[in-house]
Formats: sequence, C-alpha cells, structure tokens
Amino acid sequence: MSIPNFYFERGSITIPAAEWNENTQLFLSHIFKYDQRTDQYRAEARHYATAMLSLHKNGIAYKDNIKQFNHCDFEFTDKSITPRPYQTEALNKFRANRSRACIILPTGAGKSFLAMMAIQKVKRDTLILVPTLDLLEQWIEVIEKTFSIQAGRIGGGVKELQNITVCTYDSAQLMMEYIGNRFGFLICDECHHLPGPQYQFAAIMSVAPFRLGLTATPDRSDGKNAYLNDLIGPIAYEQQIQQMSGVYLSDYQTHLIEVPLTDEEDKEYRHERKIYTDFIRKNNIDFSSHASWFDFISLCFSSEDGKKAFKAHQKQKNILKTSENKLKKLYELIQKNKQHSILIFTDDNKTAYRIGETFVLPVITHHTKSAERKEFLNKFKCGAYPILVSSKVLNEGVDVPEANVGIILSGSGSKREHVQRLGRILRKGKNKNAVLYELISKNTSEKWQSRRRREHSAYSQ
Amino acid sequence: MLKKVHLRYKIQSNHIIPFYLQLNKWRELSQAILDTYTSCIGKKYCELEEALSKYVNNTESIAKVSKGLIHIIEKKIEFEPINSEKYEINRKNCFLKSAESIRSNENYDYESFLNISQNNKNSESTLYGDLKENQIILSTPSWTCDDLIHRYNLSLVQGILIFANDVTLSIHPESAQKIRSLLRYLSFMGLLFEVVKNHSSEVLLKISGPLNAFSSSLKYRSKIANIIGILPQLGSYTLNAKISIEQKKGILFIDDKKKLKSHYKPFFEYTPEEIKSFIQKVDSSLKKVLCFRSYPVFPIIEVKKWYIPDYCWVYNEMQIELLIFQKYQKNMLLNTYEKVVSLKNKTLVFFIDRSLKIDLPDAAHIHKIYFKDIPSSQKFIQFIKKDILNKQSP
Repeated sequence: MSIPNFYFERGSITIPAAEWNENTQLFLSHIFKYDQRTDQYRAEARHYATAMLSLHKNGIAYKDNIKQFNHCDFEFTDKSITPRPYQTEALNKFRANRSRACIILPTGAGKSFLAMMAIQKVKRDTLILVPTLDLLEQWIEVIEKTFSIQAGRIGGGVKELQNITVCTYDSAQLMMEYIGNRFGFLICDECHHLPGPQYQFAAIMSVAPFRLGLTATPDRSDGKNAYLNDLIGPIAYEQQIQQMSGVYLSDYQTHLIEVPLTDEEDKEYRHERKIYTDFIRKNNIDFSSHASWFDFISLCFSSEDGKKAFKAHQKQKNILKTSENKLKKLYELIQKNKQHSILIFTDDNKTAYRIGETFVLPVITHHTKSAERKEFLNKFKCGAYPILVSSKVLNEGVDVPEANVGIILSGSGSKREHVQRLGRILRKGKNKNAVLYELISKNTSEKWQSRRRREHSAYSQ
Repeated sequence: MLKKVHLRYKIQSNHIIPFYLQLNKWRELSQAILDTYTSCIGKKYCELEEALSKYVNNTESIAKVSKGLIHIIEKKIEFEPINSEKYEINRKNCFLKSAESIRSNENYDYESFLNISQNNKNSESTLYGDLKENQIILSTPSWTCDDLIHRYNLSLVQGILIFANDVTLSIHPESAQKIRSLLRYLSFMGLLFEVVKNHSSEVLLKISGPLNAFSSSLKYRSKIANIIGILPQLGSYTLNAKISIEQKKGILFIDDKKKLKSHYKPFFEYTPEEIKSFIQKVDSSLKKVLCFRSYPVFPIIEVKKWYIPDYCWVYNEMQIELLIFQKYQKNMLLNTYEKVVSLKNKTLVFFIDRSLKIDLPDAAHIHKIYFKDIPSSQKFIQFIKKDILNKQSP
C-alpha cells in the first residue's frame, strides 16, 4: 500500500487518487472528496489539522508536503508585564479548547495583549487578519514592541512575510491561495467580519491548526455569526462592557439629547417625510424585513412617484444629519468638554467633512492618507488636537486610549456600531470617566433609530 | 466588470438573457455621457457629478444603463496632479489654531466661534480641497460611443458570469497554439478544467476553481468571469454557464455570434519568431510529401489524460506529432512523456532543449532530438527524410 502524499493546492489540500487507499478511505472520506478534474482527492485547507491528526492517532503513515510553517519561540521584550486575571483566564480557556476558539472582550480590555500571550504559547508562524489598514499599522506596532521583532505586512500594496505577519481581510482573500500553508496560527481580529461571503475564504483556504477569533461584538444582522464556530472555533470566553466597567474599563455615562429642528427645518422635514411615507403606505412596504429596502429601491425607480419618494427620503435624512440646532448643541458640548479628548461620529463621510469644514477640525475617513491619519492620531494622543471627526473608520479597533468623550451626531440603527463607538472611549485611564452623548432630532425618525441601536446591555444603565 | 446593481437581464424559460446595448438604440446616450465627461475636463469632479445627475436620475432603464456606462468610464479618468502636501500643511496649521481657539474661548458664542474658526482657514483654498470631489479632471478616455457600448456589453456579461456555478466552454480551435494559450491562461489564473469532449472540430472544457469541488464556493468566480475577455480572441466559441443570482437560477449562453468585442490585450497572437521560422522552413521543405495540419487533434489517451502536440503532419495516413520542450519545461516534458510512452501506434517527435538533460527511457515510437536554444529546422527535416520517409517509402 503506497504512502499517501498530502499537498497544498490553491487553498485546498490534495492527495493523488493513486495514493488513496483503505486507510484514507476509512479516516478521511468525511472531509475529502474525489475531484475528477484532476484525479485527486481534495479537501478545504481548513481541514488540514483534522486530517493529519486522524491519521497520526491511528498510526497511519503519510507524507506531509503541506506544512510550510515553523515552530517559533517568541520572547516578551518586557518580561515584567503581568496579564490581567481575565486575560489569563481567557487564554486558558482558549488553550483548553485545543487552541481553536473565539474570545469576546469589550474594546479596551486588552485583546491585542491577549493575542500576544496566545502567540507566545502557540509558538507557530502567525498570520493576523484585520479589517482596516489602520488596524494593520496598529498591530504591527504592538508586535514589534512586544517581541522586538520585525512584523510582516500584507495590504496597502505591500507584501512582506515574516514569522508574525499582519494582513487585511481584503488581501487575505486574494493571497490565501498562495500563503495558506505558511502559517500555523491564524488570528482574526474583529472576527465578526470573517463570515462574510468573500472574507470567509481567508479561513477556509488556510491550513492553520490553531485559530483565535477576537471581537467585542460577534453578532451579525444576517445571523452568520454561527459560521465562526466552523471557521475558527466556539466562543470559549466572554465578558461584556458592564461586567468590566469601573474595574478594567472606565466608568461611563451615556446621554441621549433630543434637539428640536428649527421651524423652517421642521416644516421641510414634515413635507418630505410625508411624500416618502405616503409612498410607503400606498405600496404596502414593510421595513421589518431585510428585503423590503430593496423592494423600495426598485419601486422608486419604476415610477415618477417613486423617484419623488426616494428624493424626499434622502432630503429628510439630510435635514436631520446636520440640523442647525444639532450643530449648535455640538458646539456647546465641545465647549463644555474642551479640556477632554473628543471623538465626533457621523453617519457618512459627507457629514464628517461638513463638520470638519465648519468647525475646522481634523476628519478621518477612508480617503485620509495613511501618513496624515497617523499624524492626526498622534496629535490627538498627545493632546495637540482635542477633537477628531470620523464616520466609520474609527468605529472599530483603532486604539485612541485618550478619548473620553464621544459625540454621536448621526449613525445607523446598528447595535454593533453603537457598542463599538462606545468602546472607543472606554479604555481604562487614570481617573478617567467616559461620557457618550447621542444627539437626535426631536420628534423625528431618529428617535426610533436610536431606540434600535441602544438595545444592548451596555446602554441599560 | 459591472456591479450587481448595474446589471440588466431577464430570466426567460430558464435562460438568463442579458440586455445588451444595441448600437443604434444606445449610441445617443453613450455619446452624451462621453461628451459630458469631455466637457468637464478642467472642471472639478463634483461639477461632473452634477452634470451627470440628469442621466443617473432618469427613468429606470436610462438610469441603470447610465450608471453602468459611468462605472466603466470612471476608472479611466485622470486628474490634475495635486499638491497634497500643500493641503496637509495648511490643514495642520489650521487645526492647531482651531484647537487653540477652542481651548481659549471662555463664553458660549456659537457665531463668533464659527467666525474665528473660518478665519483660521487659509482663504485661498478649501480645507479638504484635495478630496476627489474637489479635484480637477485632466483627461477622460478617448473612446467612441461604439467603443463604450462594446465595453459595456462585455462588462455586463462578466457581471452576470460572476454568479456562475458551472461553466462549460466549447471552442472550435484554429490552431494548437490557441488551445495551449487558453489552457496556460486558465492554469495561470488558478482555474481547473476538464476536457469533456475532444474532436478535431470542437473541444469542450468544463471550467471551475479548486474549491468548486465543494458547494457554494464563490472564490474563483471573478477569475472565471474574466475568461469572457479573452474568448472573442478565440474565434469560434460557445459558453454555457449555470447562474444563481438573486435567488433565481438560469443558464447564460454566449457565443461568437453575439459579436462581443473585447478590449483585452491580444492573448493568443504571440508566437516566437524562431518557432514561426522553424515551422515555415519545415513546411516549405516537406510540403510535397507531408500534409501539414495546423490544428492537430487534441489527443486524449485516457479519460483524464490529454496532451497537445505543437504541430502535426500526415504522411501516408501516418500521423507525425511534434512536441517542443524549451529549457523551462522540464515538468511538462516528464508529464507528457509519461502519458505518451504507451501510445505505440503514433509517431512522436520530442524536440528537447539540451539543457534539460533528462534521461528518458527509450520507446520505439518516440524520437528524441536535442537542440541548443533554438529548435533547428534542419535537424528536424533531416530526421524526417532519413528516419521517416526513407523507412516508410515503398
């Protein structure tokens, strides 16, 4: 009986059909499938560890031509750092789950340090997936500081592989067919992104036997968070903001402030709103289902009434985003908190730039070039710039520990976005008390939107 | 490639029918949009957006087609180079002053705060003047309205093909080089293919990605969709794709009669000069006795094994196949040799670069000739005359 050879082929693992024997049939037939195109048996790369373990445990000889990752020892530069008790507990739970698990911790709780602890324990070449270039830079800084080594990066036009490499999800889905067998440990930061239709291939095409998912908000509106179990592993440890606030996270308060529209704005808003809602009623559109938004869009462009309704919908939303009194209130809050570090969140880039132009403030969006973004963040950290404005870029991951005041000028109804925004100001600091203000226009649809996004334990104060 | 929101198609009797733009019907709109772009050269991008809004906010079909056409042109616009650094320095100064005024302002006075803030700005330029909407358009593509429509039609098919689960391509090849180039392209793109049928007049390939062996794999669909860009260069072809789009299913059928034009760079045309010269010399020297076949049959030995000879001649009903192996084709030589070593009813000539230095086992039907750098036509002609014609002549 010939010894089966295992190969890595563009995100899959293969065995030549001629080497498929009784043993492989017995132990691997549940994950491998005969591929008549190439006369091989083929499985998704993520099943690598299962396949190898299965043969190894049963004493079956095989030749592994897949593994291109090494056993590595990473030493902490500063050996005096002691982890917080919950970090140790989370790491133990991760290890107890064969080093394949998701850890849910609030923003500011030290997920990056937990990841460094895991890298040191797992001792394998590691690939860290992140959703944005800002986070890529941030992780590289953490790795280089923690282990005094050069970290690799894939993303933003750069491809440098090192023992610990950071890669964006976008680059990973393109590159994994070539590098899927180069890393033994896969860390997915903000792992709620992973189950997306394309991003999931980053995990499917990787052979990494050890996997760690990190997020503060695992839930997805499409319910695909359940895929994380297959792609990474089960949730092994979970802590929420409320459990940690005051001890490991800052104490915080949230204020919902209702601001009236001016008479003129109110009149215009009601007028546009009526055109829109009349159209909705006339066409029996029910927004409680996800598909209805698409029904609305397609109806809008099939009649003159629809086009008017769509324009009215856009117009009434724009009135609410930067109403005159909202801007005045925003200034009042800026003045009230002028000794603090303030983050202002908007729903879209256009509003963010409008605020930036009006109040002469630095704005960070995906248009902001990397060097300038870095400068904005550094100046914010050192206090030279007391305020930063952003739409979505600062929602997730980016570490702005100095921020202790958040002002939400506009946003979606997403709970995840709202919790992430709160998380930005919660990192523990000396005598730090965080405050999150949410400005909504009084007696308008923003009230319902706000109610939806506040349906989370973090807001049940 | 058009995005899903731009796609126009219908599903009829289980078939996906793309709404191709007819030249005579859509020339006017295509030209109007191109003219709008041209008229905005030297203007800000936001002015272009404003000028295009009348097409984008129009009846459903015009709006959708316009968005598709705009999507295609957008990638080809060039903007006047801007001095980002100047803007960045200006911003830095403004923000420092603004921070200072926020901290020093004692009283709540919104209006005066706004005045101070605005005074902090450099009056010559807007704070974020380097954003795309403020950039000046330098040039737009110099396409004709017909060019744009052809690009749209190709992008439309690609946009639909990205939802393909299963693609079958039938080609009627003119030459072995084209087949070889196509297979090389598929392999370069990381796609797999299965030769379903093979005749001298038709080759049928099933194309998919490695992960398509498992259900609902999206990974390789964009690569599959890109194939459409090279198909018009193949000459005669038909493509059938099983499409699942927006919870509906249907078959997309495309063939060369659709007259899709591709702007992709010629993929199949390149033949190295030395090979051209080689084949011309051989053909002119032996044409009285050998019948040259530009497209040899695409031989399948067993179900999953195939090889493609470079050239093929017929002499007294005997097929002589020539396979050339350059210095970088060691693996291909070994694989092919393994496949054909049992084919004793053929006459195969392996023309091998000397640097490969592989010890191949002897087989009576396989003749090995070695060359240095460039295949020598003289050697091949001598071999044919000496070993084939002399031995076979009555």
